[in-house]
Parts: sequence; structure tokens; C-alpha cells
Amino acid sequence: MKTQKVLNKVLIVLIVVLLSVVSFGGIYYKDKGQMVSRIPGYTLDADLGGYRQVTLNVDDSDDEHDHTHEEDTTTEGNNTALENTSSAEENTVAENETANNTAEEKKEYTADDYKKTAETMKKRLKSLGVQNYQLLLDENTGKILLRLPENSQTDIILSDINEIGKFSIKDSETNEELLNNSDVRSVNVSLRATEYSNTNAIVMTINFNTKGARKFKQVTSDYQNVANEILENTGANETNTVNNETNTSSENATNETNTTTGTSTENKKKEVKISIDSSDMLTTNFDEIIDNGTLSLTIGAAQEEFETQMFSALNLAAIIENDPIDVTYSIVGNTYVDAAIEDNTLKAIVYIETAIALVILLIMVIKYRVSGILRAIISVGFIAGLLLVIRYTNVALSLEGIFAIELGFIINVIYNFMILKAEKEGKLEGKEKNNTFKKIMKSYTLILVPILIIALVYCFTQWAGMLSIGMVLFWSILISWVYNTLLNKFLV
Amino acid sequence: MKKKILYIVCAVLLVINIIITATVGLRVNLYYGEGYTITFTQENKIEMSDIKSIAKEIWGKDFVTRKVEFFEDSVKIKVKEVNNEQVQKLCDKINEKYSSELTVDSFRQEHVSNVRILSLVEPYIIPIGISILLVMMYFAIRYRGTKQMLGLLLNVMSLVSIVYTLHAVCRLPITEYTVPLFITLYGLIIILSSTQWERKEEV
Repeated sequence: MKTQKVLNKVLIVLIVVLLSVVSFGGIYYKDKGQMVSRIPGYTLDADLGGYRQVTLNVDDSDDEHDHTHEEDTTTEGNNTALENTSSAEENTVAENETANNTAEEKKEYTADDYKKTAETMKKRLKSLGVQNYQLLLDENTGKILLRLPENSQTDIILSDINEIGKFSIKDSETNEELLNNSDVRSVNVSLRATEYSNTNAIVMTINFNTKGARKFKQVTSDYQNVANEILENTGANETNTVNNETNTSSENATNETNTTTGTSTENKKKEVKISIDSSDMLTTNFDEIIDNGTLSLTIGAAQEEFETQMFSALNLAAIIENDPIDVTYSIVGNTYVDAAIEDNTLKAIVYIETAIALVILLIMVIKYRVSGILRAIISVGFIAGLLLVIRYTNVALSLEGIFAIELGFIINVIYNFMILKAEKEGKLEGKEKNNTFKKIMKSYTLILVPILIIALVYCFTQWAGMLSIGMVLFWSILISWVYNTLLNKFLV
Repeated sequence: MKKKILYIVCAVLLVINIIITATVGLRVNLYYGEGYTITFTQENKIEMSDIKSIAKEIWGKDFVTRKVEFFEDSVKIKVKEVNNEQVQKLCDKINEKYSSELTVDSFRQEHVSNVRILSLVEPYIIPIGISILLVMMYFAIRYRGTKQMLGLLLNVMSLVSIVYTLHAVCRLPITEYTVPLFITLYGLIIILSSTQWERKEEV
């Protein structure tokens, strides 16, 4: 029995050593003359792996302003043209005056405009689920410095970050605005199976707020597909009115009027134009009156680059569901910047953590001698296992996550100290053994509950730092519980 | 009695810290602070150690260097203040070191405003708030009373007071390590409190 116990201990030590070698050293093979690791690398978060830095400057020569003052400028242009005909001297004066007027009419942005724009950009990023970013605003100049995590979505986000984002549903002919961003409550993007092909369609559902839903119902009623019929009736009414007014009872005359109005109704088929800023997305009318306050639009088919398309649609949704920005910005700098925490600093952090762990293990060894050594080896095996799981489960490590590995180590060490204490008190021998073991396990599980609560709460946040610490703690708790339960069956 | 004193100390520290924050504000390191970035690219591979020693000669200790893009030929230096003379000096030294022919115009200068401390802390407030409430609820149920629950609250408040005092009263700058360290210490306090009370329960 005693020999069996010793053999078990030796076997476990060997397994732990092997696990540690694999985790800390790695397994390498030769591929095309290069040594390649079979163990996946660590996924690093933006603060450790680098980020994209974009500078947004207030665009003084913005198109939007030109559009806003288009009519005025045109008038001024005409005036200038008229003045051109008089004399060269007058011409120069007139041009200068025009330039001055335009400059005067250009809106002077205030710090509040800049703040509002920065807030809208933040809201757009929030709608896209981008949490780990930094947006720095210079309130005097309006300049924005945006730091985003570098991934496959970064470019898509940046392609539209400075879009004005004025969503509107307009009358296609008169350009009368019927609905805009303020009428939108939320926008969802989903995939929907199509009837005629194997591909899925990307559908954007715009949910209007109470006021917007009321307006939208009216729009769908006014711009129904059955417009011809309605308009023909209107045409007849108009004819009657005309007849009443003119008191003409000639049949031919009435027929002519009807024909004329009939032709005009076809020309006057009412449609709405859905547009963002100056670009029109589509022109349409409605088959029926929609009174549920939602507008579904098919904006593309999910093909090969499905994820990119989907994220582009989400990007568009984020623009629509938030207010348009007041200030026109242009991107002047777009660079990838290396990690905020340098390699040497990171190494120093790892060394400090290792030193703390070694001190704890040393205390364990000094206090409990041989049993302490065995438990210390088991603790090293736990860290090796945890690091392997972190790599295989793709946990993105941030600085918080790296610190959490130390917490994970402490969580596991607590159990080992509990076992060692019971062993020293002789509670792990004879008939008492199973009872003590159960008691320790129960007690340990109850100690873990608050930490598990924290881990789960953090896991449900989207902020990379919190998510990282949450994931590391979650795996630490799970591995520690399973690892110790399994090992103790052989050791105790 | 001891706890009462601790409560009072925590409360007094909190008030002092709030007053200091409202009047003087907190210090941040250069990474989060207002300053200027100088970005340049040159043909050869840049060694960061060279750039650091050059920057140290010109600006002393107060600078931050970062690699830009993936080609290791572009660098960003962040400093508190910059003048033409310093840029000229940087240009000369880079040209001398890498035998390049950069001009002062090759060094793009950009003003960077400071990061608001609230925006740094903001994402952590709700998760920590929810977690502490849930853990307090757990303690209240587990130990059938408010003693442990209030004990935990006191421990967390003490931690907040100490960290806050270090930054507000002792003027320790807030760096990129401050928040992660606080979160770790908060986790450690929960682990130790939980262990302590569970052991007491055993006895």
C-alpha cells in the first residue's frame, strides 16, 4: 500500500514535470527548415499587442458646408458673374466680397459641437461593440485622436467613423424629408434565407420610435404601391371639380380630362428615397401600410466575405441609429502603433509575478517540508495547465489578464495550504481521511464562489481588460477544482 | 472600536482626496497626459534603444517611444514640450546614426490632448459595482448576517482609499498599470476575505 502511494507520487510528479515542460518550453517540429511550435501562441490584447491610431482633423473645406450653403453660393456666384461683366477692377472686388461672405457664413464650431461629435462617435463605437478604445478630444481645435484595437474590423470601422451619418427618408421628387435619425430607436442586422438561391440575405431592420412609427405609418400610407389607383380616383375628383367650376357638361371634354389626368398619374407615381448623407441607398414605395414601426431592407447577400459584409452592415446600422455628427472631419493620420507596454516591461512583470509565486512556494516548502515540496510541484503543474488552456481557448491576454494569472495561482495555493494543514494535523489518515477530504473540498468550493461571481460578471462585459481577467479567473477556478480533485485521489 | 476608527479614517481620506481632485486634479504620466508626438520614418531599420538614448539626450527622462507600423522603420516619440531646436537636434542625431538625409520637415509633429481619467475608470465601474453587490449578497446569505458583508465593504473601501490617497495626496501619477493593479488587488481582497471567513466558519 505504501509502495503504491510512493509510486503514485512519482508518477504524478513526472506527469506534472512533463506538463510543465510542454507548457513553458513548448513542442517544436521542423517545417521548411524552421522550428515551429505545435502549441498555439498567446493572443494579446491591444495594450500588449498594439493598436491603430487615427487622427481626425476638422475639415475646413468640407463638402457638407458647401452643400448647406449651396443655394446662397450659387446666388452669390450669379451675382459675381453679373458683376464680371462690368469691369476687371469691379470683378476683383466682387470676388473678394464673395469669398468674405462665404467665410462669414461658414459656421464657427464651438467646443460643444466638438464634444457632441465625439460623443456620437463613441455611441457609434458602442453600437458596434467596440469597447477597448480611447478617444481623445482637443476641445480648442476639435482634433480627435482615436485608438482602436487592431483586428479585421478596424478598417471597416474607420471607413465610416467620420461620416456625417444623416439618415433620411425623402420624397423622391420634392426631396421633402419625411423621416430622419431622430425617428429611429434601434437598427438590427440579421441574416435571412432567400427563396431563390442558397445564399442568405443580409437584412437591416430599422425600428422607429413612437413618433417615428407614427410618421412611418403615414409615409407607407402615402407612398403605397397602389398609387395609380388612388391617383386615378383623385384625377376623377379633380375632373369633377373642374367640371363643376367651369359648368361644362360636354362628354368629350370630360373624357379628355380623364385621359390627361390618367397620364399624369402614371408620371406622378410616388416613391420615397432612403439616403445617408448625399448618397441614395434606394428608391422605393410600399405594398401595404406598415403600422409596426419597423422597416426591413435587404442590403446584400452573404457571400464569400460574409463576416466583412455583415460588419459593414452593422457599421451602417450604428450610423443610422445614432445622431448625425455636427462637425465634418477628415482622417489625416492612420497608423499602427506598437504596444503601449514594451516587451522588456512585460518581461519584468512576468519576472515579478514568478518571484511572488516562488516566495509563496518557498513558504510552503519551509512550513511543510517534503509534503510542501510535492504540493509546490503540483502548484507549478497547475500554472502550466492554466497557461495551456489560456492558449488553446484563445483568451486575449491584457495586462489585467496577466495579473489575474497570479490570482489564479493564489486560488490554487489556498487549496494546497488547506490540504497540507490537514495533513500536518493528521486528519488525512485512516477513517477520518475521506471525511476531511470532503470537508476541505466543500470549504474550498465555498471560498471559490465569490471569485466565481466576479469572474462571471467580468466575462459578461465587453471591455477587453475585464473580459481577460474574467476568463483567466474562470479557467483558474475550473482547472484548480478539477485538477485538485483528480490529483488528490492519488496523492492522499 | 478598530473598525470604527478605520471607517472614520477612510471617510476623512475620501473627503480629502475628493477636495484635492476637484481643486488640483490628479497627475497622469506622459502616456495619458497632454503633449506632442513626433513621428518620422527613415529607410533603415530603427533600433528602439538608439532612439531612446537620442531622446534621453534631448528631452531627459520625460518621453515615450513607440514603434509605428510593421516595418520597423518608423517611430513615434511623445514628449511634453517640443521646440524647433529640439527637432533639429533630433534630426541631426538620427541622420548621424543612420546615415540618412532627413530634414526637419520629415518629423511630423502633432499635439495630443490628455486622456480624461474618468474615461479610463468608466468601463470598470459597473462590472465592479455589480460584482461587489453580488458578493455581498452571497456573504449575507452564506453567513446569515451582515458582519461579513460589511467587512468586505470595509476592506474594499480601505483599498480604494489607499489607492486614491497615493494618487491624490502623494501625487503618484496615474499610469497604464494603475487600473489593472487596482482590479488585481480588488480580486485579491475578495479571495483573502472569502478564505478568512470560511476558515472562521470551520472553527
